[in-house]
Amino acid sequence: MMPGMLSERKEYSRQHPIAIIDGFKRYIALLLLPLVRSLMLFTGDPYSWLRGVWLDVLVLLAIVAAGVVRWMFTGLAVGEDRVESCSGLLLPKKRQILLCNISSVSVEHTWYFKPLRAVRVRIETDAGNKHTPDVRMLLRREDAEKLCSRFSSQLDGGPVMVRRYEPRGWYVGILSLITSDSIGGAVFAATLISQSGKLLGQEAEDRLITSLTQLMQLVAFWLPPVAAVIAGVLLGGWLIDFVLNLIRHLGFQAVRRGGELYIRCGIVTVREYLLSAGRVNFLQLRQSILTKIFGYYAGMVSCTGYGKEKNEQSVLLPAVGRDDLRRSLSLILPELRPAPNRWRPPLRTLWRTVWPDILLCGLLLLGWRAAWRWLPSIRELVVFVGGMMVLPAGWHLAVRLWSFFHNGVGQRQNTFTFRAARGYRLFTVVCRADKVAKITVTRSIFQRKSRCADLIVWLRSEKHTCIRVPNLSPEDINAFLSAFEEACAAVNVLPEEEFSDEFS
Amino acid sequence: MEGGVSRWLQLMVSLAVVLVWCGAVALTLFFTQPFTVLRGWLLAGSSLAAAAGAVYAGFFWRSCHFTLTNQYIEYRSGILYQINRRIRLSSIMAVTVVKCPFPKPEIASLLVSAMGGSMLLPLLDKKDAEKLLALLLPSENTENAEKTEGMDDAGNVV
Repeated sequence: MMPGMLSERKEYSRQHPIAIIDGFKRYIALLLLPLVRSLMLFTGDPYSWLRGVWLDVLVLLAIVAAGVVRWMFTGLAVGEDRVESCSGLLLPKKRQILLCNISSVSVEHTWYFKPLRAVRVRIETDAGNKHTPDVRMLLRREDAEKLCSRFSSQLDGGPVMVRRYEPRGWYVGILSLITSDSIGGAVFAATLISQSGKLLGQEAEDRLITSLTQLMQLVAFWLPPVAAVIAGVLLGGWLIDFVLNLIRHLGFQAVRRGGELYIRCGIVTVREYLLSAGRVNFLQLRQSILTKIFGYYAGMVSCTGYGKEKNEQSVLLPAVGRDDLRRSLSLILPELRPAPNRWRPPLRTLWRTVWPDILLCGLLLLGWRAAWRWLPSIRELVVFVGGMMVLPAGWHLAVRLWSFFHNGVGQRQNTFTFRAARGYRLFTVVCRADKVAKITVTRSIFQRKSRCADLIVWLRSEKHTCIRVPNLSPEDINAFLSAFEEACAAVNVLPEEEFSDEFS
Repeated sequence: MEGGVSRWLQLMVSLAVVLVWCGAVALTLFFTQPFTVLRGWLLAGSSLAAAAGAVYAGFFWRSCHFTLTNQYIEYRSGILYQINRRIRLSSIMAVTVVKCPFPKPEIASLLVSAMGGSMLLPLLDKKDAEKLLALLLPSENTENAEKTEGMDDAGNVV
């Protein structure tokens, strides 16, 4: 029982005792390391040792005491229809959340907590801070299972068919291939190197950096050294991120039970997510040019709390072929199936779509040729730099060309499918009419002449999410808006529409 | 249901005004010469401002008012700068009860978290807080959610 609460009839379960240390684990290294080092210099006289380290010991004891007190006054109670969490001693806070308002419950079985049977639990609703969960605790496994079973029983609504989706292992590899980026891996490597320096000493860090530099020189071949280092950092960073993503998503499975969508992934640290299917905001399918050629999609789902943590992605379908997509979605998320394009940009807007990239490629080629002719002393560098600039520009032109035939809007009953491109990727977003937060139609003076406009759809989600379908004709936009109003009326939602100018 | 906040809000605002006045007096005494016109004016001015603040606290307390209907909960406060917040009951996701041992344990604040924002109802009486909590998060919500979020025979959300 927790004293000092409004109602004292509830029985609260405390967090796992390891939460005492988990609360201050970031700072414990700063105190424990000097203490351990001083222990190594212990000469046998405890009094003189204590005289040297009394302040460190006192601060450590105060931190542990604060952790114990915080642990004693933090708890979770799972009722028939609600969850209550309490925390705080000087300023006791008790939060009540109805089970029907919960969007997702996440349970993380971290590998180093497995022997202790402790799991990290996060409870999310559509309210609250977009950076932190509504409730975050380190619970015993039994308490977490009780919470999950109560949430599941509220969503299942009686006996229903269970549908399971398990992708093949190499599909997870394709997902990692699509979603890995060099920056994430490079940041991870940089953190690892600097932290190893702090722990093992400056000499170890210098030795590591020297070894990496020698490796770069070894594999440089005909590249200039600077270019080799840059390429090494980018490639190495991408490789690290790829491996981390692979480890994170191996063992992926999605199970649909009534209104509950259960997702599980990871082999070292296992992560389980229970999502309320009715609170899924939208489905997003991603493709790059390569995966489009081979016919693969990566499916992400937006639900509050899923994919919110650092390095976490809201994956629903790691990688799926065109034929498997319909089958897989009808299995686990039949409410959101993509519809073919009903309204698409007219052919007369093709030049509008591609001329900036054509101009850029032309200018880069001319500049490259000029530099190659007038700077003979650094031709090698010019070839390399020119290639590095022209290739991405050409690739972007190819993406823009392909996106023209991809963009558009489709409808299936009360759900809409929006297709657009951003950067080097093609996106398909499927959502219900009531999950659209705002629609904006914009038209520049050049678009007035071409008789087209951009449709920007803002979606309901924690992150700032919008999709821009460019260069639709006015007739198509009007038809879409009428269909959207009808769909909103069917789901009893009033849309908010905003126009940058008088649209006719 | 309608109601106001506890009288303790007025007392705490007055206390804050008094503390600021004490700080202003201390700074005046420290930085000015004794028996000067400037010191006199500063002391008189800060005392007048503190008195006005204490009076304003009373009127501010009276202006703090909440209303709960079948559709929304509304909280109004302020005289010079009026704030009016309204949250639909269907948007409310969670309610947090915050108890402060000062001024006394029978006072509680409610933080209502809704989609798109939150609202703080400060320093309510314990009975008002409990009543509001029961009305904002009733058990009947579960039935309403099942009715509006239907499922077909295959268990898909309609």
